[in-house]
Amino acid sequence: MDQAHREIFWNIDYGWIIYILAALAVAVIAYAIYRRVRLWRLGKPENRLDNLGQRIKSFIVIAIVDGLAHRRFLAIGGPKIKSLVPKEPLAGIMHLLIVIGAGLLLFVTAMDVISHYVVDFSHGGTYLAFSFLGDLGGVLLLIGVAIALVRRYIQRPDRLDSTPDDAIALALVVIVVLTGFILEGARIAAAASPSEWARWSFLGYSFSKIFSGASPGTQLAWYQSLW
Amino acid sequence: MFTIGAVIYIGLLFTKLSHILISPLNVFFRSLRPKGALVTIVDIEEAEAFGVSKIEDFIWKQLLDLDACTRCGRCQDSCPAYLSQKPLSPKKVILDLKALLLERSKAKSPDNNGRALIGEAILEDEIWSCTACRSCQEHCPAFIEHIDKLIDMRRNLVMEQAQMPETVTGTLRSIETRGHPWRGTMATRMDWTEGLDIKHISEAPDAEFLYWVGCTAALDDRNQKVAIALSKLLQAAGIKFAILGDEESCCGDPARRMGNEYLFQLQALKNIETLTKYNVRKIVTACPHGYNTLKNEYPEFGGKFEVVHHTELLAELLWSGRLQITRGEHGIVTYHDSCYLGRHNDIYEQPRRILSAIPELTPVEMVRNRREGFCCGAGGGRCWMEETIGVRISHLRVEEALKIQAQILATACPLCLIMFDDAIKAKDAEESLKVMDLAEIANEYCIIRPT
Repeated sequence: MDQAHREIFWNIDYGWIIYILAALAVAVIAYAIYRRVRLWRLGKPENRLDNLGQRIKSFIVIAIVDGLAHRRFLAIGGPKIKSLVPKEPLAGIMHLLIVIGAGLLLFVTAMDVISHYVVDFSHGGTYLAFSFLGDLGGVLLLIGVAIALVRRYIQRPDRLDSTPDDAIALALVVIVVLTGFILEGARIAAAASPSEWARWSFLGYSFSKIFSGASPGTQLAWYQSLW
Repeated sequence: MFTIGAVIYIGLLFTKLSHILISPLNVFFRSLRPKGALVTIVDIEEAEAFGVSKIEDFIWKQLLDLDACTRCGRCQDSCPAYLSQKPLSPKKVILDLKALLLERSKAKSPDNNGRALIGEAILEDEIWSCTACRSCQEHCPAFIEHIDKLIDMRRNLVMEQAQMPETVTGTLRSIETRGHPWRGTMATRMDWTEGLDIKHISEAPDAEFLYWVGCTAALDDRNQKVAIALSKLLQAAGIKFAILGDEESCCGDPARRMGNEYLFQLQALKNIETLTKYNVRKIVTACPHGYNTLKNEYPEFGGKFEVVHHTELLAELLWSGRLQITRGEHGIVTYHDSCYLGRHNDIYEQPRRILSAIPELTPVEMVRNRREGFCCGAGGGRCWMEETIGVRISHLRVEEALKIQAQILATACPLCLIMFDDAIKAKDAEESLKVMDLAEIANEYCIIRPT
C-alpha cells in the first residue's frame, strides 16, 4: 500500500451478490422497456426510421450537443436568436447540476471498472483525482436536487403539478448519493487510510468523522453491513 | 445497501427519471416534416376512418410522446389559450392522454367501454381552443408534437362525426362553395385593384412574381389597403408581378387546421392546377398562412414553387437599394411576430430590418418577441370562430404593445391585423395605438422610386 488506490470489494467476502443483483436489475429494466414498447405499439404504425442520416445528425445536434449544453432547458434563444440571456435560469441550472453530478459519478465508476477489469491505471494521483471528482459529483447532484425541491415545493410555479412520482424520483437521487457518502465515510474510518489520501474524498472524509469515535471493529461492521 | 442500488436502477424506468432514456428517443423519432406542415392523410378517397377517435388511433410516435413528457410545464407557460383562461393546457392534454393510454392498456378486452377519448378524456372545448401557434412545441425540451394530436381529434370531429362549432361549419361551407372563408362578404377578388395597373397572370406572361393576394387581403376592407400598399411598393421597385384574380381560391389553411383535410386537399389540388397552368415559378404573398401552406404543404401534392413572404422581398429590395426610404416620422413602433412567419418558418429578422430602415421611427420590442412571440388568437382557424371563454388573446397582446407605449403595432399577417384592429377599438385605444402592416408603413412613410 505504497500508492493510493481503490480496493474493489475491500473487506467484502460476498462481492458476487452484486453481480447477481446487477443481472437482476438488467432483467427488470429489459422487461420494463419491453412493456413500454408494447404500450407504444398500441398505436398505428408509421415509419420513423426514414432519412436515417438526417435523424442521426439532428439527434446529435439536438439531443446530445444542445441537450448537454442545456440550451433548451435554460431557454437561451434559438438557432437564429442572438440573445444569450437564459429565460429559465433556475430550472436550467438545477437540471445542469444534476446532469453534471450524475455524469461525474458515472464516469468515476466507469473508470473504476476499467481499472479493475481491463488496465490498472487508477492509482496514485489519478486515483485521488477520481476520488475527488466522485465526491464533487455527489455534491453537485445534491445542490441540484435542493434547487429542484425549492422550486417544486416552495416556489410552486403554476406550471408544476406535483405528484408522488416527483418526490420519489428526487428521494431516490438523494438516497443514492447520501448512502454513497456514508459508506465511503465508514470505509475511510475503518481502513484508517492516511488522511492526506482520504481528504481528496472531501465529503466522504467528513462523514468518516461520524464514525471516528467507534472502535475499529464497529467501524468495519458498519461498513460491511451497509455494503 | 445493494438492494437500494438495485431499486434505484429499476426506479430509473418506473419514475419520471425514465425521461433520461425516453426523451432522447423521442428526439430521434421526431417528425422531419417542415415545422409548419401538418400530416397528410394519404389516399383520402379510400380512407375508412378519419382522424383519431380512440387512443389506439394515434400513430405509435404520438404515444411515445406521452412517455417522453417530464411535466416541466414550459408548453403551458407560453400557451395563448391557457394564458387567456381557455380550457386548454398542452401539458394537461399530454397527461390526460397518457392516463387514458394506461387505462386502455390495463383493460381486459380490446373493445372495453372505458372513457371516451373525445368528450371524456379530452373535451371538445380543449380541442377547439388551440390556435396552432406552435409555442408549446417550440418550448418543449422533449420535442413532443402537441398540434398534430389536437388536429387529429378535430379531423375526427369534423370529417367523421360532423360535430363542430357552428362558425366552423359556416366557414368550411364558405370555402367549399365560394372558395374563401369570409362568409357574408360582397367583395370580389378584383375589387381592390381598381385604379391600379395590376394585371392578371394571363396578360403578363413575363411577370417575375405571381402575387398570391390571399382571401383576407382581397376581401377584407382593412386588409385591401395592405394589398394596395404592397402593389404600389412592388411597382415602385420595378418588380413585374401579376395576380390570379378570381381564379385564386382559398389556399386551404383554415380548412386543414379546422380538421377538414378533405376540403384542404381539394383546394390544394385546384390551386396547384391553376398555378401550373400559368407556369408560375415564383410566388410572393403577404399572408403567412398562405405562405406556409404554399411553401410547406403544397409540395406533397406536386406543387413546388419558390414562395417568398412580402417582408422577405421588401427587406431584400431595401437592402439592394431598389426601394429607398428617406424620410420617416417620430414614433415608437413595435413588431408583432406572426406565428406562421416566425415559429413555423423562422422568419424573424427581415420584418425588423424593414422597420429599422425607416429614419426616426424607433422600434421597441414587446416582452414576448421572436420565438417567444404571443399569438394574436387567429391561428388554427380560430379567426373564424367565436372567442367566448376567458379573455381575448388579442386584447392581451394589445396590452403588451400599450405597455411599452408603442404608437404603431406593426404586423406582417392579415389575420393579426384584423384581430388587433378589433382589439384596439374594443379597448378604446385608437388615440394612442394603431395597427399597420409593414407594407403600409413602408409605403406610407417614405418611398421614392430610385432614378
